[in-house]
Amino acid sequence: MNTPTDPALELDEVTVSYGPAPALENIGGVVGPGEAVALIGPNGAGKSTLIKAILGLVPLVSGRITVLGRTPAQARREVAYVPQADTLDPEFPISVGQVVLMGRYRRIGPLRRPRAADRRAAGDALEQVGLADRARHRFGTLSGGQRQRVLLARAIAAEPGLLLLDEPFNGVDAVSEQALLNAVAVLKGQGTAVVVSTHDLALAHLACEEVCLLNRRQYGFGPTRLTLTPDRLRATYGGHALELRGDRVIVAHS
Amino acid sequence: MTAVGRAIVEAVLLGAVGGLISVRVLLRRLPFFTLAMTHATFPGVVLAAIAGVNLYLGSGVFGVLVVLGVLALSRRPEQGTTTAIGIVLSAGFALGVILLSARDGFAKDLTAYTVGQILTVGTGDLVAVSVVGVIVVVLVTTAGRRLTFRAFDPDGHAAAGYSPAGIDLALLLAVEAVIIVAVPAVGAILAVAVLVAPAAIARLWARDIPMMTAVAVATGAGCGLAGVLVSARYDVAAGGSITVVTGGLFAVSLAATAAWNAVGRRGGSRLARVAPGSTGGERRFRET
Repeated sequence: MNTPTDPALELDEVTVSYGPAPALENIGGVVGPGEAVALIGPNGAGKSTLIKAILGLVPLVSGRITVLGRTPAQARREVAYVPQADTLDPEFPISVGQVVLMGRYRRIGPLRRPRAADRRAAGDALEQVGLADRARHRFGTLSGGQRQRVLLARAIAAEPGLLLLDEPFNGVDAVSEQALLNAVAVLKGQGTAVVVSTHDLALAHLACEEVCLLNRRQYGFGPTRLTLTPDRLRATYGGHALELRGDRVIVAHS
Repeated sequence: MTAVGRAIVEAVLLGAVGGLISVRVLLRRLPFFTLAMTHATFPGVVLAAIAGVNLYLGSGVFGVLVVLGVLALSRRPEQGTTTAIGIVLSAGFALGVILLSARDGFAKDLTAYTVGQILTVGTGDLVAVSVVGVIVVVLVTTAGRRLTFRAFDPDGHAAAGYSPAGIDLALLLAVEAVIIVAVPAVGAILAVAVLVAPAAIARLWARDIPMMTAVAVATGAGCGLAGVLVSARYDVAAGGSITVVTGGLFAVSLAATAAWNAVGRRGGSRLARVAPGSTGGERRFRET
């Protein structure tokens, strides 16, 4: 069993490969309960691949991933994944409430109907992201930022020990961004560890204790203030200019 | 029971079963796959007839091979899949035609296996549709939530620890079973109308999946009944009648809902939303 002091996520020399060239090489680091790590790197750097590896959906060539003291496949029921909202079909005939309830499916099991506890958890989760009044709306009628919040609510309803977010702030309005950050902060307060891939360095500063700089291999893993340095960023992005915002704008030139 | 009586029962049962599975076909975006599966099943039906074995048994065995082939295709990267499906579709149909042309009475058999001969169905055919109907009902009631999850968010479904291959296999086998029992009624080629159109019609009118399912089942059964009645009244092919009635209803629905939404944009449409506005603070979750 995992005790509260054990790490929520351990990456030990993780190497993943789709073809002859490795997609990720020797990634290593530790995330404790209630801590958040930002995965930062350019497109195609392997951020999504690392998230898939933590979910146990892609095999490792070498190294080891330990999630809540177990293998990724064993721990999957206690890991929640938040996809990018714009990858989902807005025409799908499903209500916001039904999407959130999906977070409870593993607990409900195939043959039973959702119980009061499941509906309550789903309702509470929706309230945490500030969309309690939208439960009966069709998912696709919400704005992009609101849809992202619904998907976070689905993850919250699963009561995860580890939360994985794939580019949650892409194309998200300021109101939704704040709602997402608040909800993530509440989860962290409850001991949930968070892994979030993002391009937004200002948000990494705001929400994450740690950052992991990635571009196929690791360019740094550690406390945000110490790791998010101009030199490291320049190395990670290989000289490409960065689009940044907030007061800590760092631009790497080629 | 008279031949027409049996035909009506067959058409209504098949329409209802097809309507039920069609919702899952549409949500999972499988209409084109289904079209390919009907064409690939056709040579299996012909082989079963040539070998003289039970049509359901023979095409069932062949159908499982078709499903495994389709599943293997769908595992490949998205690019090129449609091309492969298109080739499988025409090659499957061509193989059936070649096999049939080696026999006497080619034209008559070709008609029977491609567009059906519902007036010749026997009690065994009705039993076959009923058995497949029970299988589809069991699948939809026990795995409905998973099917919806998989269709809506494939990555999230896999991340939650579900096996995508398992649920896909179950759905494709059910689709193949419906194709096979549809052969005597509407033929292998027209089966796609039974397996896609009811949900496409329901999708235009319904706001959520339970309502869509109810409308699709009713539509499938209704079109089956109307098709057989039209066929008996005007002495035209039943498989064709059922398909034309279904297609006509789709066209009418498309026009009607488009007009309705155009008017509703001014007056407040019910068709575009899950619920006509939610009441503040109320939290209710309906099952899918």
